[in-house]
Formats: sequence, C-alpha cells, structure tokens
Amino acid sequence: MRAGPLSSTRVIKLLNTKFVNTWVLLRELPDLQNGAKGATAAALATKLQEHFVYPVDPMILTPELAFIQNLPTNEFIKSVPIAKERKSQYLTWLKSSLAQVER
Amino acid sequence: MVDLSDVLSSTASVQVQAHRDPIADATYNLHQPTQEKFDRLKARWPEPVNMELEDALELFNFKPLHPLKNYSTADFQVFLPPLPVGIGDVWDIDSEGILPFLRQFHSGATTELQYYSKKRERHLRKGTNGAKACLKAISPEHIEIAFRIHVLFMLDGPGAFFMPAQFAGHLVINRNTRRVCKFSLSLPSRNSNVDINAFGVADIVFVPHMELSALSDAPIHEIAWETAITEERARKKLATAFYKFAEIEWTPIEDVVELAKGTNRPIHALVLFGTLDDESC
Repeated sequence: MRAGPLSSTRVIKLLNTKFVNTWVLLRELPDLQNGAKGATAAALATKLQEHFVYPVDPMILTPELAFIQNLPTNEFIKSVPIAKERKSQYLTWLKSSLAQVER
Repeated sequence: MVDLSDVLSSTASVQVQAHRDPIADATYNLHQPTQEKFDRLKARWPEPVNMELEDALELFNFKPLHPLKNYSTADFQVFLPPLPVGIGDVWDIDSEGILPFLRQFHSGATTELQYYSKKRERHLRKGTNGAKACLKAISPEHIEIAFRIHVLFMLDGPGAFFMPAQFAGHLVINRNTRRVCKFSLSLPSRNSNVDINAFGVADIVFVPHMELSALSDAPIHEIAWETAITEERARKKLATAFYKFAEIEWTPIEDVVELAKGTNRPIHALVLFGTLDDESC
C-alpha cells in the first residue's frame, strides 16, 4: 500500500485536503480501546476493531464514527492484480467514500 | 548556506558504547521456537540445516559484537554534507562509511535491504535503502545533524536476518574544537520495531532498547542554537526523503475525532499488522 496507492500524488492530495488521516497498529487497538489515549481514541479504536480485516485494512468513518466502508488489502490486491491500476482504484474508492459521507 | 565539510579535524578519539536488549515481545515467537516447531522449520527448508535448537534460540538475540569501540573523529566525517547546506536540508550518507558503526552491533550489517518472496527467493528492497541526514540546528559554536539509517543484519542461519525499523540518530559537533560532542543512534522504542526472518518465515518483534552512544556526551540542553528546526520537523523531512507516502498529513489517533469534527472531514484510518512508516513492516 505504502509504495503503491499511498505514494500517488493524486491520492496524497485528496487525502490531505478532504480527509483526516491516521494509522494504528493492530496490536495497539486493545490498549486504545481500554482508554490508553482517551475516550475518543477508545471509541475510534472500537469501531476499527469491529470492522478490521487482516492484515492491512484502510477504513473510512464519518466524524461521528459511523462506518462508511473498508478496503481489505489482500482482497484489493487480488481484485486489482496490475499494481499500476491500484492507484486509480484507491482514488475512486476515496471519492466514493466522500460521496457516501455527503449523502 | 553553510559549508560543513571541514568542521571535523581533531585527532581526538571517540569511545562509543553499544547496548542491545533481548526481544521482549513477538507476534509468532519465531525467535524462540519449540523443539517441534524448530524441527518442522528445518524439515521445510530446501537445503540441509546444520543448526540445533540452542543456536536458533540465540540467533536473533545477538549481543553487541563490540560493547565499547574507539572511533577517530575522522570516522564521523561520513555524516557531513558534501556540499554547503541550509537548516532543514537533507542529504545522502555514504552507506559504506556508516557500516563500521553498525558492525559494532553485528558483523552482518548491510544497508542493502532484502526480503524473501513466497517462493523463498531473496530480493533487494528498492527505494528505501541507505541513510540520510538533515541539518537540524546551528550556532556559532555548534552544529546538530539528525540522521536516519535503514539497515539489515544478516545472521548465520537459513534465510535469517534482523531488520530494525530504522536507527534515528544525532550528531553534535563543536565548531571551535572541531570535535564530536554528542553522538547517538537508536532504534525507536515502539512495539513492534524489528522484522525478523528465518526459514522463509517472518515475524515482527519488539526490542525495547538498541543504541550506540558516545560516552563523551556533553549536556546538549545548554547549547543556545541560533537557528534550528524541531525534532519532529527534522524527522518528517527525513521520512519524506525515504517515503513518498510520508507527505500524507498523519494525525495521532488521540487527535483524530476532534479534528474530523472541527473540519467536518471523514476519517481515513489504516489498521496494520506492521508499522507503516519504517522498515519493520
């Protein structure tokens, strides 16, 4: 992911202008859920844990933590076998997320 | 712009201490297999394996090869920029020149990062090899350089290597005496921070403390810097020099919800098995 879609200039621009971006280790979710970094991080961690698909999973949530959609990486790679196409597919996925949030 | 090519010229030696903790946590416990698991790994490896369980248990918990080592001041020249630089500028560090420092930990240090494919073929990682430095601070008496090194330690076992997330370092030089007054490089203490591989199997582990540090360190807080960037800014510049994705504005998870509500933007969150912004993944 990091050498593919997340290194696309267009994806980076969209993420920096339209989203709040974060990443977290799977192994850190239980502590976060227990309040290690506050109540709002706990609520977010709980949502992420609920929907996570191993081993890497980007997810979109509203500011109120309603789950919009995810893109489990192993499935994504299988469904888009040509690496170059994953950048545009990720961009499309982000745009469809925005459309769903605005609905 | 400042020319730093001749700021080190002392004949003084610098004693550097190496420290390494054992592995404190792991996902699959590849570093401490049971006899049954070890026999299974050996049987799966395509070549004969001349290794006993006792050797396997010590493989990834190697101790520093040289707990103390003397360097000449000239050895630190490798961290200096070849051309004049300004505050915040980033430059490449010659990989060969830093290997003597890294081999204080283990003789198998190399800056050619590798990985194994599912077919157990060894490949070189592209794009994230090597080491980079950034001019972090300057005063009439001192300069401070922040640097980041990506390194891999080849171990004496079937397909065995130990790849730290990164080494983050600092070098402070006294411009008057032309001597090193602070030097350290260390593995960020985050669980998980090392990728280990053997027998075509990978694990991500946690080593709480792994560091080289000069014993002659002067208290750095007493230096009145004339121009400086923050540690966070210097680290971001170094990360961006290695990874394009570091240009994404990542927000700490504890601040995400408040920022999302304040800006009315949706949250894009990645959950990962391994760390995103280093080489332990």
